[in-house]
Amino acid sequence: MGSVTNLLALLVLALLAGGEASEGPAHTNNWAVLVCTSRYWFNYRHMANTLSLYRTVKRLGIPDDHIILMLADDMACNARNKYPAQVFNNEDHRLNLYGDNVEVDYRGYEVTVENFLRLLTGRHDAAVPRSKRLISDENSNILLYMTGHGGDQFLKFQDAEDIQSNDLADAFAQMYEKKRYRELLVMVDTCQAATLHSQLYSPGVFAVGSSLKGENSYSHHLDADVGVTVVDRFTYYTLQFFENLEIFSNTTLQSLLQTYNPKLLDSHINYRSDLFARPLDQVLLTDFFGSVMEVEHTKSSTQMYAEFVDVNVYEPGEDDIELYKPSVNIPVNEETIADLKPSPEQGIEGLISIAGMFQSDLNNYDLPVVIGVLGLAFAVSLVSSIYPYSPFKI
Amino acid sequence: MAKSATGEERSVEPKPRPLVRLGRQLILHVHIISFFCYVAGVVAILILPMLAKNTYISENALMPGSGNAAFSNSDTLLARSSAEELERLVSQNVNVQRAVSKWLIEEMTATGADCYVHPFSLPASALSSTRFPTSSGHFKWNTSNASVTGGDLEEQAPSAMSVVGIIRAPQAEGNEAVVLVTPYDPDDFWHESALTLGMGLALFSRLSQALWLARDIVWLVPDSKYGVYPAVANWLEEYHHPPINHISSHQDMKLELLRKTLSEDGESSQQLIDSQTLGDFKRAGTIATGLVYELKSGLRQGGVDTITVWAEGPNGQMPNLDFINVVNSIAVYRESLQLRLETIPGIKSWTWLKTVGMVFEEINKLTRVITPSWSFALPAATYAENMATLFSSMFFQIIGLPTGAHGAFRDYQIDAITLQFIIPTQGQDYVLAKVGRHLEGVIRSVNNLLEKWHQSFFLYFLSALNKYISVGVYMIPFGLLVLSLPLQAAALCYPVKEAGSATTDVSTQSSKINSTKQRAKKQRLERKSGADDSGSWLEALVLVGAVQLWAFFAALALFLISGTKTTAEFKLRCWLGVVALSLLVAFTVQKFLTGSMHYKRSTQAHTQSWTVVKAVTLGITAIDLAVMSTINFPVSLIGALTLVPMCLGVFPIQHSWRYAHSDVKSVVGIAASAVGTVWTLAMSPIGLPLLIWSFYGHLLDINSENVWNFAESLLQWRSALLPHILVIHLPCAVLCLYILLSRLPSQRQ
Repeated sequence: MGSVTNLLALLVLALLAGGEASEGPAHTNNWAVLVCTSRYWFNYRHMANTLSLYRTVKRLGIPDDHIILMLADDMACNARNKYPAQVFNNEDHRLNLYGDNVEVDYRGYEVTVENFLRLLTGRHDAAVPRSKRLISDENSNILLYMTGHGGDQFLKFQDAEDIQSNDLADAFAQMYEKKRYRELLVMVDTCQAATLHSQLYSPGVFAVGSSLKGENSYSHHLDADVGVTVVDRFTYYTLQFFENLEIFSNTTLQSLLQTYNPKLLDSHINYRSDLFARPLDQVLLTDFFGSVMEVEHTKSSTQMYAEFVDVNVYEPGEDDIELYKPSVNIPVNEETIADLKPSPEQGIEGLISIAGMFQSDLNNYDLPVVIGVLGLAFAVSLVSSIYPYSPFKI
Repeated sequence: MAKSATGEERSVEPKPRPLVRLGRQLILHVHIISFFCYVAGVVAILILPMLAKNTYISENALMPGSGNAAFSNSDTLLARSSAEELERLVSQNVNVQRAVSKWLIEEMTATGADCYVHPFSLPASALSSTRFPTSSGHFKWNTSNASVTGGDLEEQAPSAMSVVGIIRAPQAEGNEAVVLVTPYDPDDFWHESALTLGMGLALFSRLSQALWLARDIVWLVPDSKYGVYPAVANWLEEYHHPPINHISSHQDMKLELLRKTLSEDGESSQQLIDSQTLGDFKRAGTIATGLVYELKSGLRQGGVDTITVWAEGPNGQMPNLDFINVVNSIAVYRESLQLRLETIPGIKSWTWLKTVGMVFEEINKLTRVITPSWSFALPAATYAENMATLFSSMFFQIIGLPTGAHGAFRDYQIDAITLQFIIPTQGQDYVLAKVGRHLEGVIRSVNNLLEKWHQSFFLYFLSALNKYISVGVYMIPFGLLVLSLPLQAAALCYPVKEAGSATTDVSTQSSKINSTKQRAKKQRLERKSGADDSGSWLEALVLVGAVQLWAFFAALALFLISGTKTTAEFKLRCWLGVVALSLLVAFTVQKFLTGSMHYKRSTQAHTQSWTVVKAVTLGITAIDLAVMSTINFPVSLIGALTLVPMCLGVFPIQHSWRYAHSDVKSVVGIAASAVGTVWTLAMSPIGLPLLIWSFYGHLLDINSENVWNFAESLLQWRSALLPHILVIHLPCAVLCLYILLSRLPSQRQ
């Protein structure tokens, strides 16, 4: 009887685990779509907003190929920019947002409502390269950040057109039908931002906007050196919050929403959580702003890796030193070479740490013995559970 | 419709449509309505300063004052030391032009700018300057005009030479440019000119180090030997229209001049010319903005450093309001400088303005008793000041001449203004630094702009620097003034006593709608009425047509005579003779034409002939004024103010006489015709000059030569005032005189 209950318990556990996988936080990939919709020099801050968010999500682990960055204008190379090829979001100029490693996917006049909706719904022309596509699936968590000039139920694109809140809602609905997301976080920093997410109806969407209907979203401060305002308030305080965030942080969405101070923003944030299944105090910020996956270590793979490590311990030879020499003709210091040489201890230690906690125990036994013992134990338990009148029964 | 109306069997007439009834009521009370319209129009002009709104910066891109100005103390020192050096150079050299040009070329080249010289001569159709009561130094009499313009352009050697430097924007495409203009006069070079050029150099060298330039900076130093305007206009002309036909001769001429002016004192200058292609006319991009500035020594007014702004372009065209707003906001909020619009000193001392202001204040006190929150009046002093500013601006616009070199830019649809900074003799450095920072701020703001100025108003008046009156507001008084003309014309055509039948009602209505379209009315009338009326209509049209043609001829004669090479006095006499003669011819032709018309002339028609002439005159005048309001609004406004009472009040003297002696006497009627008669006489071609002479004779040096020169300069500057006087005012006045003197049939009605 006991064995039957054991089996049932196992089954229930397995079922529970499965159920959790479909509803819980177990997304398998993260995407970020960051959109700056306004052009012209005086809208410098919108580009700085977007680039700041880009930097943040990248720092928190979303790889570049999973970030779609849309910038309606190129402030870095604007002739009015006193700091060519640099964009700052603070007047202290300590952080150049437009460094060497920025990958803009949609630039300038490519940022249109049509392209944006095509990107969301995945209805591209065949010629559109992969880097410009949102290749998400039903296990993707998507962060959508938009900034620009908005109004009641619309967001202006490029001074020429606008996207209506209904368009956005319908695009999300289509994404939901096409299983293009698991959860979607929409963050909008515009005037009257709340109106933009008022029409949403697709499940799994959480939306937050910087201002209510009839309210403006204000810029944070003027950089008198560059001659423009460099960041918006909502984004500024968002960034301030994220600057203290680590990739392993357990900070939740709830705590982010609580940090916005209407007095500092000069506007009231508004969010919609009615379409969102999880309670906000259980949603990690890194579920959207980072790419933190749950990694399960399986025993077998670890063992195989351990075996590999045992057999192929790396012994650097004299020839290898040449490889570590800098290509430029600098006199090679013996000490530096020694540093560069990976010692066997270092190599093993490094690999042990990767392989995990089993490694240290297993190293002390012979592998066949361990397998044998484990196999025997497994067989005994199997037989005991299948055959009720086993002689082993206690 | 006619049948139903004439049907006598119907005891009750069909009720006319509301519009018809409205039209009938309007015509019934046309005298009262037109009187109140005129009065309301005048009052509306007087309350314009109270209707003025606060200015605001409409274009987001401008961001005035958002960037720190880099103009520092060292730049101030550079400005002052440059000015001192220039003064020293000028005192050492006999040829001021050469000394200044050389210095400018060297300094400009040292900053790394593209530098060249632009030699020019006064063009054949030289824009001579004129003087009017507020002559502020921008204009000089140019009586030697005729002798200068004697030869052809090709034969004349260039005698003036502007120096130009271009800073290429380091990161931009170079398709747009901002032009800075610092005028100097080599014949009248002293401390202020040196200071202006010194500041120009300091600013230029500061801008040459700016990384934020999105537009090329062109520094134009025009040789204002013939005035600033011709120099700038000449440069702009060549900038936009390169002289293709005579390139080689031009080039040779230029080089010759350059050698003559620059290389007299040695080999180095010769090398300078050859190596740096100083003679090549270099261009930057499309000129987006022009900024003319000069520094004047003066006293601080009320402890504040002031900038005087001139903005009126040709025919009252104003630069975009945003430009003035930017200049103002940077001056006031960043540099604590005070901007001042140029006003005519005489107007400020007008006591009646203050009286009117006090009247409005009293009225407002009364209304505040009823509704305490309702406050509309300005303090009397402010009112008078705003009104003076408004009237000065209107006056400049009426004259139609630009108030400075910025007018030359306006001809190319470039927004430009002239700024005059007052530099006190004490604490000069401090003010110089302010001026430099202000100019840099304005340029940086203009640099932020993406296209041309387009966002804010072009049609506006300023009653103060932060108060504007937009076109939607200032058209109301004009509309009120002119409205009575078509109404009266309609009333004259369809007297109310005849308006009993439905037929006339319909015509009345249609005439009200189309009252400004005399032709349509005439056709309608011909169709509706009998042959008798059409005869008098035709007669009236021939008369008015003849007078209008005569007026056009008078304008043409002025143009033709101004081309001849004689003295101004002779020209004026010539013109007057031609005009008088042609008026006789016009009337003769008119008599001949009307005499040759064979139609049955009834007594009724003859009796009414002057009313038809008056109706056509009113219609034509209304159209003329409406058209003029689109060309030069203040001219049309002054036209409406002067012509409307004349047109409305004019009656044949005989008619007035009979009316005064008739049984039904009315004081108002007699007064109206008396006013009309006096006004007509005052505005007549003889009365008006006499009136002006008697009022302003002591202020202006009025003699035949000056009058002719003034008229000629109006013609050359293409001022709308001249066509207004000759083509609108003159025929209207002559027709009104004709009506005044027209004879009625002897029998009494």
